[in-house]
This record gives sequence, structure tokens and C-alpha cells, in this order.
Amino acid sequence: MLTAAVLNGLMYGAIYALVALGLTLIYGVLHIINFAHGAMLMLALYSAFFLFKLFNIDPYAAILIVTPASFILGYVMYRWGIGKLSKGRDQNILLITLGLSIILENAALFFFTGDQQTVNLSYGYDALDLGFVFLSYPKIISFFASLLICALLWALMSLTDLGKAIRAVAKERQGARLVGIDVEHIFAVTFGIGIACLGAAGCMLLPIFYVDPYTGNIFVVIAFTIVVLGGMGSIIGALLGGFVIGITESVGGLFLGESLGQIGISLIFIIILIFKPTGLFGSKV
Amino acid sequence: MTVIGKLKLPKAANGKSAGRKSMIFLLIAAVVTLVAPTFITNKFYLDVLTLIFFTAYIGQSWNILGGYAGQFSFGGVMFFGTGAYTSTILLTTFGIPPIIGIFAAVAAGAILGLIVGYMSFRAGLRGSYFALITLAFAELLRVLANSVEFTGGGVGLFLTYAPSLKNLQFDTPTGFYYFSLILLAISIAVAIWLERSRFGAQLAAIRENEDAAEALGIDTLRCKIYAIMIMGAMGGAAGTFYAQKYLYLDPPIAYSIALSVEMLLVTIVGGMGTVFGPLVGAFVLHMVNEITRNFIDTPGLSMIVYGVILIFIISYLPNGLMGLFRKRQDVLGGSLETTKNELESKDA
Amino acid sequence: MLDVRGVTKRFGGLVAVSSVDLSVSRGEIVSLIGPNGAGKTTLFAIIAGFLKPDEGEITLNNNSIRGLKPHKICKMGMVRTFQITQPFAGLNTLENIMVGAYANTNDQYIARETAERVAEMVGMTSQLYKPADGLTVAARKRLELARALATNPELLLLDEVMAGLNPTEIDEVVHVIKEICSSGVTIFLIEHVMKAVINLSDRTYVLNDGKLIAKGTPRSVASDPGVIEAYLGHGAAKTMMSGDKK
Repeated sequence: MLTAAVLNGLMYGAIYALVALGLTLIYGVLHIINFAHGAMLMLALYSAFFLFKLFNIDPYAAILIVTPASFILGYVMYRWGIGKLSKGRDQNILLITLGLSIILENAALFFFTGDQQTVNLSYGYDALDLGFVFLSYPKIISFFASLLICALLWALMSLTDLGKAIRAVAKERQGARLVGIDVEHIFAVTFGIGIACLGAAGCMLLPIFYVDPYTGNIFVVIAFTIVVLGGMGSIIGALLGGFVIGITESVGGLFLGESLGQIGISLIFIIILIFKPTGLFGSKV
Repeated sequence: MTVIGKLKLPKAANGKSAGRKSMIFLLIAAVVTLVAPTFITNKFYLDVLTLIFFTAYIGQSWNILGGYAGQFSFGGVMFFGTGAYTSTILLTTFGIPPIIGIFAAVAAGAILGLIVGYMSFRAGLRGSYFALITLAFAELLRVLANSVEFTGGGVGLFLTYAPSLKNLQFDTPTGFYYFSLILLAISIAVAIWLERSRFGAQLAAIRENEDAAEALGIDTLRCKIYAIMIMGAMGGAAGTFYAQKYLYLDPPIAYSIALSVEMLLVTIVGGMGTVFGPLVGAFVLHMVNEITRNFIDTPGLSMIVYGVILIFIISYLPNGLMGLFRKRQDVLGGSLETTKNELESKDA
Repeated sequence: MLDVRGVTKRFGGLVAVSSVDLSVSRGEIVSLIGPNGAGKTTLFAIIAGFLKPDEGEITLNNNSIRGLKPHKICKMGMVRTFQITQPFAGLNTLENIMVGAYANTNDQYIARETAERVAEMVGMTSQLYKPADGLTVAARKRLELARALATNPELLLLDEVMAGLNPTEIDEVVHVIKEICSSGVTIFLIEHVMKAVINLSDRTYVLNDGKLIAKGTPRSVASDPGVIEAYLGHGAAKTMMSGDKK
């Protein structure tokens, strides 16, 4: 039972990691705490859902549509929205992203109603029999797809010029400007990448979860806990943190029951913030 | 400024005679609200006013910590829920009447504020980190309330309908109207006291620049903790009010994130760090609610508008609607000028 | 009055302050000078309680203040100003100063009176109701000074209070500081403006690379070869030598 829970947690953990990756990237480079992160994940989930319902597009195939679309959305949102409105003040950004999440959540409520929606894939119930546990195919696909995307992201950040520019801006904003990097553009690109992560994560999450207007709230706390655990701005931290949280949630649910199991995450969040706010891998807060 | 008859008012630190105008306004407003029920025949409107007063009251509790002290909490509902459970459990399990239970709720809220405040502020959490941790605490409490027996778990708690003063239950809207009016009056008094007191000045200093405040002899940790305890105490009473009015309590209601949002929303829209900001905000937001509901009666629309208003206010009117009435911040006026150290966690 | 012994502070591998000994006696005006990056502000931050020293002792009136929080140190009679001014932006001048005054009283009226008196002392009476974020640099420096003064300190730590001021403004501030001193406040200041240092200080300490390299009267320090070397190119020694002491 325990191994099954751990494996399960690992599966979900990969997706959580992807969600947290977007968040930590946005924080690490823009120093923005994107409170609308959960709401945007919810948006991605709905996108995948409607692509499936209306056009019969498999969620995993939908990744190819939703991810670029999310990137563009994120880019535009930052460049002509958040960047302008907040005038760069952190407290403003917190409230603006809060406002955004309220708008998104309630727009979903308004247009899609509060019902929970799920998708039924033809292979949704087929599972891999490992002897001690059944792993449904969607879970396995989601797991590997998430890892793949995380790897791609790492490659982008370490090996490409764009990645170098992003890291430069993250480390030293003014200096980056001085060497000719268009910082506003990089900010928008990074934000776009962060939201694109959500786009992909949403597609992968839909087959093994559900969506309703409040899904965002659930993932906000999870995402922030992972980011704080792994260290703000640390990609490795987000990855490892994702797995830790995924497993904690799963094992917690096993031992404490569905309801109380959720407590683990809030507790971890509080404990980390109080005792080690830089997280396991973060360099600065 | 001159003296009017025997009314000698202290000069506020903005150089003007401390709102002689506002004193008169306050007096008139007080009289109007006191006699309103006799003139308002449609009890529905009394209920609406009650709701507005309640929202303004709980908004004011957020205002103390958020507007005056500059620490934004996203988990304010935790005091409301804890207070509600406290007085309700005392009633249903121990038979203690709410008229006494409400004081326990106030105490419970204050103690919770002390715990959360001490842990968070001692760890040096500010700005967004503080906002997030309060959210986490509220979440934690929600899950706990859902899982333990004495709160009724997911099923919740039912209160028996038994109108009487000692039960803080009333069989007409008028009763609850005055109940909420008293709470509102208390909250306004607290805010006015804050604006004229040393404590209020210290909170304003902390809000504007915590390091400078510390350098000038202000025990910032202690002051912030006092502020959150006041917020907690006020929130606790709000919880009892709600429980006695609606006679049902469960975790999603007691610890709903919507209420956390609402209390900050009314204050920011109305004007942070002002006495009447939350009240103005509560009126405006209720009006918005009514209008949108007449327009299209689908859930979610009014909140969408709220979200838009929030973003608009933050971006273009950071001092809220009250800011339109003031050329600049007066004593301890609310401001979104944040400190440089907003996201720094610990001092070296 | 203030005794600093063997104070050392490291940031990772960097030693910002190394084994510094200094003292300030009651009624004196003592200055701390040194090239940029010498560690002067760090030392101030340590003395005032914003940073904890790795080694050393600090006593104020024979009471140890090492490791105490800044607000406690303020209550004990020592207050610092900041190099980069830290006004309470949303409040006006009077309110800013009142915050300082509230350190010693609960009463709104007394705080206000104290603030008005202090404002007059530093020459800000005409700007009492101006919002702090609308003040000029010079006015902000003065506000910083006034606020600290309003706490009724025994020892005032001034961090580059003249930076960014023009010669007339500098003269005014020097005059104000002298008055403050004669009213009984001891002053310890970090300064780059040599004219002020010579005019004001009874004694001077020179910090370079975290270490004390000279101490004594401004004159003796100015002719110290080590000091001249540390300041090579700044022309400070020349200024001192040409003696424009009033």
C-alpha cells in the first residue's frame, strides 16, 4: 500500500513540479509572486477540456495547441497588462494577480457553471500492472511528459542564448540592460514560459483529475509550497519539491485519510516559511 | 482654527481642526442609522444594511492590520471561523449562551492572532510572504475543522432557533440590524482611536518604513502582534454574529477564502488606512452586486466585476475612493508606498 | 559613553569590519571617515543594532548593547540616521517627527509640541505640513536628523547627513549640528565632506578596508601618511592642509 501511494505521489508530483516550475521561474526572474497561477492552471484545464469535448482532441495532443497559446497569453498579459499596471511595486502585483485570479475563477463560474468536469479517454482505465500496484496509462504518460518538458525547460535555460539572457536578467537587471538585453521583452518571455508550463500541465492533469472553477485554489497552495520548499527561483528545487509534495500528499492521504491528509501541505508551507524561507535550494528570498 | 462654542477639538497633525466637519457628519450619521428602522418599512432593506454593516465591520478588522499597519493578510477569515466555532461549540456542547460566548470568540480570535502573528512576524515575514502564510493558516484551520469531531466535521454545526437577547438571536431583522450597527460603531471607534494615538502613529511608521520605525524606538514586532490581535478579536465577534444570524456553520463557510478576499476588497476599494474606507467600500461593492444581479443573475458576475474594480483601484486609485476626498494622505492615511525591504525575510 | 571593542563582521568570505576599537565620550563630536566601501555604514549598522557582530563588544554607558534590537538601543539613548534617507513617505513632516517624539511620550499633544520644537531647531518650521515624499534631498536629510533628534537621544549617529548637499546647505547643517551638540547631545558622524569634518569634530577615526588606520584630531589624522595613501587621489589631504577651518 505504501509503495503504491509513493508511486502515485511520484506521478502527480511530476505534474506539480511542472506547475511549480512556472511559478518559480516567474519569481526568480521577475520577482513577481503570481497569485493567479492556480487560476491560470484552471484555465488551461478548461481549454484542454473543451478541445476534447468540442473537437475530440486528445488532451495529450492538445499540449501542442495549449502550450504555445498559453505562452502567447502569458507574454501579452505581462507586457501590456501586469507590467504596466503594477508600476513594478511588489505589493501592487500581489493584489493585481489576486484580482486576476478572482476574475478568472468567477468568469469560469459564470460561463462554465460550477460543475466538475472530467474527460473520459478510451484508454483512461487501461493500466499497467506492476504486480503490487496498477498504474493507469494516463498517469504514466503524464509523468513522462512532465519530465520531458522539465528537461526541455532546463535545456532551454542552460543551453540557449535565450536562456542565458533570462538568467542574466534574473541575476542582474541593470547589468543586463547595459549589455543591450531588452529586459521588458525578457520579462514577458519568461512570464510566457511560466504560463506555458501551466498550459502543458493542464493538459496532462485533466485526464487524471477534474476541473471546476475552484481547481485553481487547490493548486495555488500546492504550487507555492513546492516553490518555497525548493527555493524561490530554483528549477531543481521545483522538481524535487514537486516530488516531495506529491508523495507527501499521497502518503498523507493514506495514513490520515482524505480530509486530514491535505493538512500536510499547508503545514509544510508554514514550517518552511518560518524556519527556512530560502527553501532547500534557493539562494535568496 | 477657531473654537466653536464649548467644543474645543484638538488640532490634527495635518494642521486642520480635527474634522470639526467630520464630527458633525459622524453625529448626523449616527442619529440617522439609529432611527432608520422606524422609517424603513421594508425589512429587506434593513437586512441589506445589516449585511453592509457586517462587511464594513469585518473589513475594518482587516484595515487595522492591512491599512494602518501595512501588513496584508490573505487569511483574515481564520479569525471569523475560529470565533464562530468557539461561541457555537460553547453553546451546543456546554450550553453557554452566545451573549457570553461572543466574548470567548473575541478572546479566541485574539489568541489566534497572537499565535499566527508571533510565528509569522518573529520569522520576519513581510509583504507577499506574510500574505501567503496567513492563507496557509486559514487553509490549515479549514482542513482541521473538517476533520475533527467537536466541530461537527464536514457536516457542520446546527444552532437551534431560539430568539432572545442572551442567545444574540432576533426574530426580526431590526434586532440584527442593531447588532451589526453596534459592531460597526465599535470598529469605527477603534479606527478613530488609532488615528489619534501613539499606537496608531507607530503602526503608520511601520507601514511606511519598518527599519526607520525600528531605529526610532518602535518595537515593531510587538506593535504588529498587537495589530493582528485586534484584527483577530474583531474577527472573532464577527463569527459569532454570523453564526447567530444564519444558525449553521461548516468548514467551507467558516474558513472561506471568499470572505478573506471580501474584507480586503472593501477596504482597498474604500480606502486603506482610513476610518470610513471599509464602510464606503462595503456600500459600493454591495451596489455593484445589486446592479450586476439585475443585469444578469448568474453567479460569478459580481465577483468578476469586483476583480476588475480591485485591479483598477490598485492601478489608478491606490488610496481608494476615500482618496478622492483627500488631496493627500492625512494623519496615517493609507498608502501603497511599500518599503524597500518588502520581500526580505530576515534581518541579518 | 560609547565603547566599541574588537568588533568584527564577516559576510561570507568578506571581512567588512575587522577588530575595530573606538570610543565616544559624552559631549564630543566624533567623526568616522574613510574611502567608499571602507565599512563605515556597516559599523554604524552594527553599533545601532541592525547587524550582529561576529566578534567584539559594544557598550553604551557601560551597558552592553551587543545583539540588542535597534528599538531597545534607541530607548537606551542612541539613535541613528540612514545614509539613504528613509522618510515615512505617506506622512507629512510634522507626523514624521512626531513618530520620533512618541518614543518618549504617550500623549499626542506633547509629541506634537516636541516635534514642532525640534522642527524649529533644524529649520523646518515652514515645511511642517508638506508630505515627506515631496521634500528635496536637503530637506529629507534634515527631516532624518529631526526625527532622530525628537527621540531625545544622548548619542546621535549621523550617517553622511551632508551627502548631496550644496555648500550653503552644508554650512547650515554644520551650524545645526553644533547647536544640537551644545544642547547636550553627543554626536558620532560618518562623513565624506571634509570641510564639515574639520569644522565639527573633536576627534576623528579613519576606517579603510574594515580596519582602523588612524585616529586623533582631524589635523593629525590628515597628515597621517597612511590616511593620505588611503585617500590617494581624493585630494582630501590637500583640503585639510590648506586649512579653511573657521
